[in-house]
Amino acid sequence: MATATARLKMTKSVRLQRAILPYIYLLPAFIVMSIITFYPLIYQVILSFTNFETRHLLLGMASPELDNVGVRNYIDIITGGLPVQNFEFFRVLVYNIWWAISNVAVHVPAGVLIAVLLNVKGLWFKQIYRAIYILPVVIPPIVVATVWRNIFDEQYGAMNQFLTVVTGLFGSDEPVGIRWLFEYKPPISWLLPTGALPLAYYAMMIANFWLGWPFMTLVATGALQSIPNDLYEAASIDGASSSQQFWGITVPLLRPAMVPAAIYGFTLSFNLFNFVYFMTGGGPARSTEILVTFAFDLVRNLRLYGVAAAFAVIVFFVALTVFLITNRITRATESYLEA
Amino acid sequence: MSGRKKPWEKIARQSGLLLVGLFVLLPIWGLVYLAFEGGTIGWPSTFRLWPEVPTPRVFSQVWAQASQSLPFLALLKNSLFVSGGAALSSVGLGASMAYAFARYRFPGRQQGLFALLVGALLPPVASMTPLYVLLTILELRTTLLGLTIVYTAFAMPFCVWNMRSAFQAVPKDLEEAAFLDGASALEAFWRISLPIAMPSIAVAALIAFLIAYSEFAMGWLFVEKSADVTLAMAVSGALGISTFSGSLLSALAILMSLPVVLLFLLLQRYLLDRLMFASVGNE
Repeated sequence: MATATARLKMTKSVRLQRAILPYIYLLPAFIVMSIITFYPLIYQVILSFTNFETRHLLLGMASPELDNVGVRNYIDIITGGLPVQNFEFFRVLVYNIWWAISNVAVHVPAGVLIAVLLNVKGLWFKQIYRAIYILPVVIPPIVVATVWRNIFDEQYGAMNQFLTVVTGLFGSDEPVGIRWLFEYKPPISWLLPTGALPLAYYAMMIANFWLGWPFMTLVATGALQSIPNDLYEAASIDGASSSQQFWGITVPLLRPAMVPAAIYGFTLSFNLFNFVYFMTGGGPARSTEILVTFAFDLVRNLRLYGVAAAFAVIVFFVALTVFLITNRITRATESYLEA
Repeated sequence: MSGRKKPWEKIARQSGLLLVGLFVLLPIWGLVYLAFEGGTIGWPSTFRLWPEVPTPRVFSQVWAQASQSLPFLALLKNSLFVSGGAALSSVGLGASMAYAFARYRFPGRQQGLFALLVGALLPPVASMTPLYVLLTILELRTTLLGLTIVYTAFAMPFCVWNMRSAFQAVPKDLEEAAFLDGASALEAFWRISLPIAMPSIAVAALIAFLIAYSEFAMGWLFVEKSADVTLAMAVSGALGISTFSGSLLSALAILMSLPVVLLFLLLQRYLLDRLMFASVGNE
């Protein structure tokens, strides 16, 4: 009632104030983001139609010799017309999508499983487990990449040294020298058709698994704790087995929390620049290259800024498409919240 | 779940969790091992579980000279400046925007949210060249302030997006009660919503901090003076030099992780639910 009378008394100027208010709140961030986020984006689009090179860096757009080359940069990228070895756009794109999907497909179930194992009242050492499990989330990714690069080093890595010890037990005195990160020939090639994933992919999957599952466990634990215990009690009175309870109660009620987490994990893996760049640099022969590492290579080493800009625009549209698709999937599962 | 558990189930559960714990700890142990192993130039050549003669020698070496002529603390100072600056400015400037998106319906809101998302989806590499040119023109490119601006550009849309869900979770009734007591809209934001959302805002800041803290590739592209090198850049640079030492690199990596890990363990209980909520917070 009181708010209603207050609203009646509202003068015109107050109403105007109310209408402007949101924009005042938006202003500081809007100014900053226009300059450092959206201006670069537009700049990049314009750049992508030019032959921008190192000599233009000093003056930027004002550079006199900057030529408009139309959509040539885009055509070069898609048809493989770049002066770059081992680069086919669609292979990298497919690998990038596969890399993100396969990572999330492993992280989410593992994260949920470990959260379920942890989520028992009066579990021994629970606090210790939790403190340990959080470590991969907190340790800076660059350190993680360093660690795993050490482990998979062909000569000195712990993985090969460990395998040497193991094969030594079986009577072999030959040191194991698997080139985890640099072997180009795909493993088990007799099993898979040509063009299969290189060994480095599997090594990176293991390393990224280490990095990725604890976040999923974190999210799943929170969701598990919000499931009322009565549901399980009622189910066991009705004679449901624990696996029936898991599939009938736990999984559907976890879904609203896990779907956004999975999408977040997907975007993270899709653009996992630091980790991939540091582990393999996209090698061997660009077989573990993802879009962002290639974009960086275009600027850092090849110095083809115009091409890089076109590439960035393409990457952006790929990311947007992926997001829109995953967003549609989330919407589809939103009914679980109301159910 | 029900309380009657068979003993074999308990054992299976504990051994499963123990294995996972080992999987997490082993790589970290590898790092600690290398650091305390001491004199390893290049990488170690045999597999051991424990250093032959543990020594903290490398740590004092790194402490005194972490990268070229710089001591560890100078690098840490640079890192804290850029990451702290990026975190504070993304949160400080973004908070009111997040609030507007969470609380008000206004013309342009949908477009604004979409633009925000576009910014959050944009991989950092995509704005590399424009920022390079922009900062060169402003004569800020090679300074730490310039790097702070670059990292802010990366972290800000994501931070605003996260803080928006934090503000959405603040019950509307609380603000309406404040209005009844005669508070203005600004007062309600400042006195009610902001303090309640503060823990989640802190998490957003922490994420922004971590993004900047471990970024190195842009750093090498922008920074020119060796005095402006950050910790992450030093770690990534340590692999390339001729006198490369696995022990030194490991010690540096450990020293770099310690501040964040300690901070996180201290705040764990307080932050964990917020972290989940920040990422999962739905409409």
